[in-house]
Amino acid sequence: MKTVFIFLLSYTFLCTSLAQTTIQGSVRDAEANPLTGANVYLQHTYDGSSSDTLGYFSFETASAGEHILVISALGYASYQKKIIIDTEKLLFEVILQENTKAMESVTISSGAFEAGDSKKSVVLSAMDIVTTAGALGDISGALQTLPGTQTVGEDGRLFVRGGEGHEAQVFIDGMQAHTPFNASVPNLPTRGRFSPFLFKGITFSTGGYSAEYDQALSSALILNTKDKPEQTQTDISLMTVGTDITHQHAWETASLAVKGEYMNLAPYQFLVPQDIDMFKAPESVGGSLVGRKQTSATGMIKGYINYNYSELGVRQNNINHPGHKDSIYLINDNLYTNISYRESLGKKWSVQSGLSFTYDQKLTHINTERIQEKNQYWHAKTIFTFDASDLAAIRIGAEHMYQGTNQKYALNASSETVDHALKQNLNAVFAEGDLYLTHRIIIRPGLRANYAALQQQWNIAPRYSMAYKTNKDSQISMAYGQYHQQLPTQWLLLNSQLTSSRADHYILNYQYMQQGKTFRIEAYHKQYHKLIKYELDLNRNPVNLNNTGKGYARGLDIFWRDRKSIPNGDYWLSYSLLDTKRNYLHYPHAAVPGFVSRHNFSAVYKHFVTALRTQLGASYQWASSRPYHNPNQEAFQAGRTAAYHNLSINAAFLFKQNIIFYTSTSNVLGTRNIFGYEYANQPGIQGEYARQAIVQPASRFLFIGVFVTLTKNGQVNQLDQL
Amino acid sequence: MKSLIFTFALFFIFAQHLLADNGYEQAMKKGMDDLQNAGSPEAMNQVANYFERIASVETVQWLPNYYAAYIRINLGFMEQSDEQLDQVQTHLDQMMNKQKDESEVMALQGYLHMIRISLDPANHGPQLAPKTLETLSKAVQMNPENPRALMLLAQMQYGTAQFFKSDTGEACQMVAKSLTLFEQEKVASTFSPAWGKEIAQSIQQECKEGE
Repeated sequence: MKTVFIFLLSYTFLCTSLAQTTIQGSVRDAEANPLTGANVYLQHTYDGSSSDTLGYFSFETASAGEHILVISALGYASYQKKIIIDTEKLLFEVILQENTKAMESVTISSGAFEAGDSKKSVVLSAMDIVTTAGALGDISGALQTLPGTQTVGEDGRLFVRGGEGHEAQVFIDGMQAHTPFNASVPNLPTRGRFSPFLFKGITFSTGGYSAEYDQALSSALILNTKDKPEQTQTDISLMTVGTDITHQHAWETASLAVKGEYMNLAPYQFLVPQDIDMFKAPESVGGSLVGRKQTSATGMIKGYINYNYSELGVRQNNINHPGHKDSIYLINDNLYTNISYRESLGKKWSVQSGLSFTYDQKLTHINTERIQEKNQYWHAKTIFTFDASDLAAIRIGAEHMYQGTNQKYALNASSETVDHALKQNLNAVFAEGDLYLTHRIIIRPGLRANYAALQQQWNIAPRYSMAYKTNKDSQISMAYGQYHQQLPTQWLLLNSQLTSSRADHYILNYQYMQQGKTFRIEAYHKQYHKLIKYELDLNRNPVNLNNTGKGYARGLDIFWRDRKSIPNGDYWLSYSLLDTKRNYLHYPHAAVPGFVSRHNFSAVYKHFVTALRTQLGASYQWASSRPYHNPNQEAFQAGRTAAYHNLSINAAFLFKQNIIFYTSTSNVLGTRNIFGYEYANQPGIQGEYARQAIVQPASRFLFIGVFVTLTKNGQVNQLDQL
Repeated sequence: MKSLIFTFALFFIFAQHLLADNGYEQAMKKGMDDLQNAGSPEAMNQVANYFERIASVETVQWLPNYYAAYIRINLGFMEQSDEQLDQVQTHLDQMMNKQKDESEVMALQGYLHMIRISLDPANHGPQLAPKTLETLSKAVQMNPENPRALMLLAQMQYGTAQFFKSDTGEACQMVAKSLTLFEQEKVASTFSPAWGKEIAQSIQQECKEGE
């Protein structure tokens, strides 16, 4: 009986140990500020408490022996400590480190503007791109309201920080999209092939980008397609310029979207007379297929196919034959496919792999001449990521690019064709590390080695960027890198031994971000090496092509966005100062290229009027004069155009939950912007070179569209369930 | 004698287990009481912390997580904090994994989407509005007797109808139906979700004023 008693006594004692221990202390952040409301407790027990406004906590526990003390607070890394409860009172003074994975931690921001829906560091969202007045749903159109870009109204592509249009490259899920813009003829602006709705995130890098990307001297536009299969729905767009229909089907772990589109500007151009003479208004038919399949909890395969066929015909005055018009007719076939795969390999490793293929065929008739250009591009890339810890990650990768070009030229239908062909293989390996030295400092060293098979040329490109978080809302970052890009195909066809051009970027950035307000200022310097250089013969054909061209670009980009101060209002302002000169092409000496405006300014405002269920928007863009060469003047590139103005307005009206009416007008003031002049090759009778202005296709562009979304349950009557 | 000791000891151990279960019940009861009395965001955060502590011990139970999430959604709304709401999503994801077919959890997910829309209608509305409807409809399908799922669906429909100046009749009918469900609701356990009746009543009030 005694044993029973002892047994029971000890059992009771063990289970309801009467000894109480008080655990108390304080929770602070790295700057010794008290953290309020942190959850402090012993793991696997009910015992715990929350820290008070001064960061103090205190609780009692009956537990004894070894336990784990856990402290968690929003935005901070969870703290765990093994403790031994053996006295009446235990005191802990704990400092919580900011969660490095949370968005408040330092990130590399120099050079890059992020757009997307998930992250808080975003500058623009997909909706912003669609609803920016004047952008007309074009990604590059919207990006032109950000600093660092140039307004080049006769082209439509992205011109970044003194770089030409082809120096900005587009990557989709890491894979290069070689022909991201619709085919167009000289002086007729183009737009991007890809719909902004395809992407969850857009990173627009104006310089200093990661070692993963190359073949882009000035800018990388990195687009990542959406991951999550959304609901099953059908979207129909009816627009003054055409129509498209998309059906998207979502399953548990997969989704498939099919899109068909037809565009024809003929009816619009019939109603609204154009300043240019088009005998065949742009017409295109195309389709795309987007598929995603989740292969495991961490694995995902994405595939994307986009096909487009387009035609357009324009008559342009030929300044060398007064009274004569050149007829230009363009037919373009374009196919882009891309497949990418990512998966975790155990806890620390992950792999990302992709393959893209582009086929582009352009047939151009200029009067009787025929030019046929076929391009094929392959791009394969694999990257392994090793997450050593929360504070260090290493990426290593390799890529291969192939370009096959075939150009046929015939003076007229019956003459012999002249063939030019080019095959290029580019290989690269790269490695890059993200290292948090402290929670305030991240460095990203990287190195890349490129090999161009055609020229049998190696080059090494070091990259380095770092960021320092000055306080909760602001940070300073810097970047340096060498970037290589092979010359445009037109030059390589004339001389395949021309080597890649190189640009060195130096960037210093300050960023402040707080509650819907963003301020950025960035200074940069770029040095261009080995640009194309040639002389013109008597027929103005390029001869003696070489790589001795060079140049520089430096400037200041300022951005301010505020979406908090005005209720239902949102605005951003951008200013870019650009000082650049190049001695390339046939320039006799270093000069400012014709696409450059020294000052670029843009302002965008959006306001949602709840009572009208309408979002109203306006954007204003101003660019200072651009230089052009006037052969009547002694000096080279001495002419200056007038400044560029463009005020655009738009309105989106939510008629019903699933029906949106959208309208926008670009250049409402009807400013007659002149982008430059074309001069005759020979002087006229009076010894003067005649000229003609390069102008906008029309002073205004009016766009009206209706967008309808049909879902299974969006507006389906819910009453049947009652 | 030996068997007696054995029986006694066994009984004792059993009693201890009963007591432990009681511990959960007591802890939940205290949490529910604290929740009733929590007036300030600070107090609400403390209760949410408390439920999270219970959740860390009672890994089989989903209700502690449910209440932690429910409180944090309301906190996120009061403090207009996306960050709070991000944290809730993690809670919900964990619960979703365990309670795949629980209408209450699905309804809470819909509630979270709805609060997110209210924080930034222009940016979140277009994407989340259809998602909210889908999630809440799913919750209603899982359990047509769940008054909260129906009430939230009605609230969403009512708000949408008001915004588009269309007929609120359907939403009002739904609210009425949810109120009947609230009346009839047999709470499965003392701690089962029971909130939402006041919201339904206030929507019904608006419906009446609108007539």
